[in-house]
Amino acid sequence: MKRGLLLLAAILLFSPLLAQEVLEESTFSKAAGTNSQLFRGKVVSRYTFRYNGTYFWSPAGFEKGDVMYNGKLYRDVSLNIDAFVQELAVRIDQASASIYLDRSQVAWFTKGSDRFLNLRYLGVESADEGFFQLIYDGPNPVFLRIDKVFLSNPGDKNGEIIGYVDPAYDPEVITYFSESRRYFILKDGELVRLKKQKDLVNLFKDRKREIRRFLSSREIGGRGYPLDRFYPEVMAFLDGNARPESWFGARTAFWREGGGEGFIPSVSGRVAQADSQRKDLAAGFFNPETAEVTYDDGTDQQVTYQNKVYEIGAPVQGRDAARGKVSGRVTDSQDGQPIPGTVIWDERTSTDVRSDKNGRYSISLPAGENILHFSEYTKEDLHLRIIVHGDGGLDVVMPEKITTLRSAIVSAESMASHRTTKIGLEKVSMKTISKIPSAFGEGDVLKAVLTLPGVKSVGEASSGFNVRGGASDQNLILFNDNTIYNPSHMFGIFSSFNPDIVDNMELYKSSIPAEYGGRISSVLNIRSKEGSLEKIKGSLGIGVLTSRIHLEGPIAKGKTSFIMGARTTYSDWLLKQMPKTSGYADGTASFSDVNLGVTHRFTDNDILQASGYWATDRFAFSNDTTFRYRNLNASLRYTHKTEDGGAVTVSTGYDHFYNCLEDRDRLTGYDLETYIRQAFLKTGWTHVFGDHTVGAGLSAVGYGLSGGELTPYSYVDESKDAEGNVSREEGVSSVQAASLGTEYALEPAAYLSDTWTLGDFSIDAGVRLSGFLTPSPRRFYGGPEFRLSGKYTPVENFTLKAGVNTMKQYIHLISNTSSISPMDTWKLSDSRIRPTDGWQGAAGVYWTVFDSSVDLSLEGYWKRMYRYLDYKSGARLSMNPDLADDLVETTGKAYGVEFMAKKTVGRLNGWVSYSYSRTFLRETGDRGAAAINGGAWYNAPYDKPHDLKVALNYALTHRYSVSVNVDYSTGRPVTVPVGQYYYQGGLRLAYSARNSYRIPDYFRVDAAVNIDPGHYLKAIAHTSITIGVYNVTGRRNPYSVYFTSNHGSQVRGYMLSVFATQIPYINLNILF
Amino acid sequence: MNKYLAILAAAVSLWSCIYPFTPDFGEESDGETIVIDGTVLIGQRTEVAVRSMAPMSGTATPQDLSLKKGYTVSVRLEDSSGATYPGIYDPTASAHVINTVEAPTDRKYRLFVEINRQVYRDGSFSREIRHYETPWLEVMTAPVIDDITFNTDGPWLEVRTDAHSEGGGEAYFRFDYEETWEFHPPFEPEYYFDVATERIRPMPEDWVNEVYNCWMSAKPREQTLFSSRGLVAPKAEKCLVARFGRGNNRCQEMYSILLKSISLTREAYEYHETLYRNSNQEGSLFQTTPSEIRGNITCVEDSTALVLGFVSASTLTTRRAFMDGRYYMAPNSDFELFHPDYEDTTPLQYYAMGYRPVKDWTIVTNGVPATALAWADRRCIDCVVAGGSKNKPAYWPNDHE
Repeated sequence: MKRGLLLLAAILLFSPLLAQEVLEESTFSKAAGTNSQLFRGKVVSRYTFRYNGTYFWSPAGFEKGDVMYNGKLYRDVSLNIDAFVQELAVRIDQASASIYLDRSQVAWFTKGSDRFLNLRYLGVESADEGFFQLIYDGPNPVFLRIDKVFLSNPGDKNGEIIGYVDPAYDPEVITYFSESRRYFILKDGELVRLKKQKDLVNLFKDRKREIRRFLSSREIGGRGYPLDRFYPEVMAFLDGNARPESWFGARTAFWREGGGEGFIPSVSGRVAQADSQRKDLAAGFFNPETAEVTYDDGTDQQVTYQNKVYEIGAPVQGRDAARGKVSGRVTDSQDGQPIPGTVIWDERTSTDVRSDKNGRYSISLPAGENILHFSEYTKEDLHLRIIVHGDGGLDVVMPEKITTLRSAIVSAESMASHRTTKIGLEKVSMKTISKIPSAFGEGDVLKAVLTLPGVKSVGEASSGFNVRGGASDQNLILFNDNTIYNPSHMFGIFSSFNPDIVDNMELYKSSIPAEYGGRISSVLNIRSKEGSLEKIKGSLGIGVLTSRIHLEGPIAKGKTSFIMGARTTYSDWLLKQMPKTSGYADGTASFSDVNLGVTHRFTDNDILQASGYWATDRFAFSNDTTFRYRNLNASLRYTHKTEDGGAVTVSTGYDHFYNCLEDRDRLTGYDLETYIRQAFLKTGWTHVFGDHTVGAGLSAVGYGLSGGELTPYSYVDESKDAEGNVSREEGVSSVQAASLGTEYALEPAAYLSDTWTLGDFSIDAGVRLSGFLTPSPRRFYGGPEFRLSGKYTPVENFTLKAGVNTMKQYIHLISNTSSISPMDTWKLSDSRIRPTDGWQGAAGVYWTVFDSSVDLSLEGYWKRMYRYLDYKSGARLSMNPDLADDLVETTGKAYGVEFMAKKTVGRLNGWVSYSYSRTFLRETGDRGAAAINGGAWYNAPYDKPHDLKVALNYALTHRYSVSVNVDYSTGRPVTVPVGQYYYQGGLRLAYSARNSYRIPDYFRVDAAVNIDPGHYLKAIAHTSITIGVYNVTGRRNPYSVYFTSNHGSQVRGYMLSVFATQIPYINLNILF
Repeated sequence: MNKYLAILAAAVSLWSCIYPFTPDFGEESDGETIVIDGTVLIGQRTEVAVRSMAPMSGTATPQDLSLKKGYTVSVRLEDSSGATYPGIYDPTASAHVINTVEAPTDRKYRLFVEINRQVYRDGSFSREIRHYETPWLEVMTAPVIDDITFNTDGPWLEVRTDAHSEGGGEAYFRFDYEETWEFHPPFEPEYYFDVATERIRPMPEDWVNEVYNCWMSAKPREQTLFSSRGLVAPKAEKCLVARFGRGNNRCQEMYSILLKSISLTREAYEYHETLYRNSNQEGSLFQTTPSEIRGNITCVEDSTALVLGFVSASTLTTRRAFMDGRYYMAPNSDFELFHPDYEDTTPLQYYAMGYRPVKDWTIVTNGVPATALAWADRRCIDCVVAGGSKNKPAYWPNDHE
């Protein structure tokens, strides 16, 4: 055990030091010409995080120079030295990306007027790897060695620390490249470090006196005298040269252009060795399709940098078309994967589009010069200047945003809300989620959702969530197109989604796209990552209660990839370690889940994705009763992208949710099983027609639902008496086997949508025709659902939006508990249970202020729900063939306003939101006084009017950040007794108005320190650690209050608090 | 290592906590909600109590309206032939008693309650009369009690019953019972303190019987409900009726239970089942939302008024069983003897403090035995003081007096 811990500690401590290379595919022009052999090697490291200073040797940038490389001299090469990694970067021209030369083949080079040598190459074994600047050339040459060190520390570092005075120094940025200067002299074949002025003088003891006279007469040396002048001047004096500056540029015995003489022994002899050491090029490096940068029609342009003008389409007889359609694909610089959801925004027309799931985009632009902004919250923004002549292509490679975004916890980039017509759209990446503190520390999708305005739950550790007054069964939860019916593990403490597998999630609170349907409140769309096409990698996570692993990589490099993840908890095992007397040893509470995904790219335009998900939960706190439930999902998705920027998708899949209650009482024991099975087939098509982006699709979902299968408990007991005789007892409980049968239904749908941009206005309109057919008894429900939203952006940073949605829901959760319980069952609409309808109108104002760093939004909504199911008092919801008799239809109304201030940049980022909302229900029908609350409006169980949420992250350094989460809300409504009375020998409680009392307000503060991996490029594993405390104040937030008369003797009230104290946690993630 | 992990697991499990909680109830009962508590027992006496409901907070308690100043309550039963059975208030039972011993089972019955009360409105007193009635109630046939068994295997002593309905279909039973048990105090006294002479004297044998053998009776505060819904037959098997711990004085000597069973309609069963569930919440994460369920009594003048109670009509079956509890009694160390210190406290003072002499008792201190008269709390030697009665039931099978 100790050895294991030591190993773990070692991994933690040294993982940043392990090697990792960051490779990036790039392109080079044929313009390299005869020099093309030079431009072979690995691409440069991209330091895309924000910093002060420069990682280059000097701030001078690229300069022309000559390179002796691989035994051959190359002239007029644009080059620069990366002094952070000691690599020589070369490029063809300003427009091209740069690569590192193989350092082992570089003998020397010049840069402007400076000269540099690779002393290791030249046989000086004691020299460090890398380059040395020759600052004095003579029999005893003197060298300057500059190394750049990446540091993070607040305070002004401009000037000496970064090596030069930078007029653009940004004091807000605390990370910087510090300059380290060392001087060496090569004397008698030994490389000697010179730290001080006297070190040089002491090397020539026999000439000390004349040196001092020389220094004195020339006023050279002394405190503050620059060493890069002192050493050459002294050496020039010693060599008898009165004008040391004349030595610079002169060819001396040491400097031998072309090699082969003097100090440079045998350059050519090293060629063969260098060839064998040459590193492989990135796949497709010289593939003409990607390597060429041709500007005539733009179809093959690939953008990896921004400092140039891209011309789209060919000018026709000198005249451009009125408009041009720019289409292409956005991919990740790290692994070449497509980046869906990238906002492509044209500055000139304020038009915006988003890349689809395959990274494809298409945007129609007016002819002439435009600036296209590519924004995705995990990537560096790209701002590209383009000139549109006509239709053309532009593929974009987006670099990872490292420092600022890793510390950011904000879901979308600044200004995002101005670019879409959608109201109430929240998008959160897994990186964001991982920064939000949660109980037990594991990044949790559903807990992150709860930090967003307009999203509530009935309490901690409760399954499900409520969006804008909707019930928890009114949220469509999709995971890779599959429907997840129970999204929680362990009574709601964890969500069902492995955080290492999830890529991002979108929550549609109001404007729900026409392609989605079946629930009336929201759509939570969660996508898992695609496996890397380039290399095997993964992660290992260790938490307080769970551990998880994920692995991904290519099956066929560049074509087929896989990703898999698994997660389990040791709570079951831990409970079993408890002493018998604790009462917990017989309890079990365990879960596991497994994800698997495979993606195959037939071509860049034809992609097949398969994904599978399996999750199971089991818990029991007595020997007799066990709860189990299980999600099993599989889907297959084929996408074909058309050249015009559209796409056709076909997906199919199977979802299975199963739960079981096992009672092992011999007299009354049973197994009660319920399940939902559904198979779906969906097709979708999008096409761009000028200013219109049109979408259409068909879908069908087939349901098979079992409301309950009851099987009596059969038991067999064998026992031995003292004499060894075996007695066998078997029997069956007195429960009668029963079955509610299987309900079948088909839910077909068709939709048509259009996004139309008219200058400052954009309109998103859609209609969805959905139906629901039950074969026995034959019944059909259906009708149109409308989706309409629009925006008006009079100025760049100010937008007004409004929209309205109508929705239909044909499947219902049957529950009389406040939270989703593992034993709740689902019910399809039938001849007696009608579908639930709903509509929502919403409007919002969005204003971006403070130099685009803060997004302010104010959204209001009004929502109605019809035929939402509630239950009669005393209803029997399990194994009830006449369930409809115990249910009542209610009408719901909800309204609210949500204010949010979101800071997206800077060391402090995050959001503060406040919402005021109300949700009421009212029983419809004619039950008179027997109706719930006598037929009057009553509070929904999740009606919590005031809701304040704060989620902030402060970056102390680029690695260390602090997260704080604050959650305040009005206490939720509960039903409490209105009186007590004696009845049949005991004291009883009478309840009257449902949900008329509120439990005390909820308030919680969480805090965490996040330690992100360092930017050690050579590390093979990166470790991130989160240490935090959930519920810092230890407030006993009530989950519920309840009352008991203790079986008739005395009435007492109690409060149940789920997390009644501080919960410290630590979570370790190792990426490899 | 396991130890620490176990502690961690305990911590995780124990983060969830339950605290006493008294809320500000806000809107509460005004004390005018009527509770009608009774079951029409054909072949037996029917008792109907009419009470009020008390608010949750404050000191008000539920009241018997028949005794409340300004109230006049009358109760009567009517059968489907038109015959009327008047109720007569019995203060000892705190209920109106209706003689339904001879009432035929093949008729339907309905209960009427009239409350005449003095109200103060607009500066003057007036009378307000409210009528309450049930629908016609069909007489259910009580289940046959097949057996009563005592389960002595577990930590508890359990009373279980087998019963069945002679009709078909789903059956709903309610089991009520009266317990009687013989018990005695922990110590049989050998001496008594003569107050007149302030002397301790040997206890005469016939005096011992006066304090050592008693009987006690109890009724449950909650009845047992049974539903055969989902079962193979309308039959209750080993249905748990009552249970008590082994340290309870129910199993000191003889224990007897008189089981009473009636049949309920499905509505009556659901009413009482919901009532008990609402009144005994356990506060789990998946707790069902409590809800008020309406009974079958309506106010004639205001049909929307909440009236608590569900009146059923049924025959009654009873069965008595005995258990000799002495085999199952667990040692009870709650009672202690002590050697008094007469230097500081006189025997009379001990007597005044409620202690009584018991017997000679030897204790060993530092290896030295010492025998002296031991005293104990008077509850330890006097069963009457401990709540017992000297009235031995006529059916009692042994000859203790």
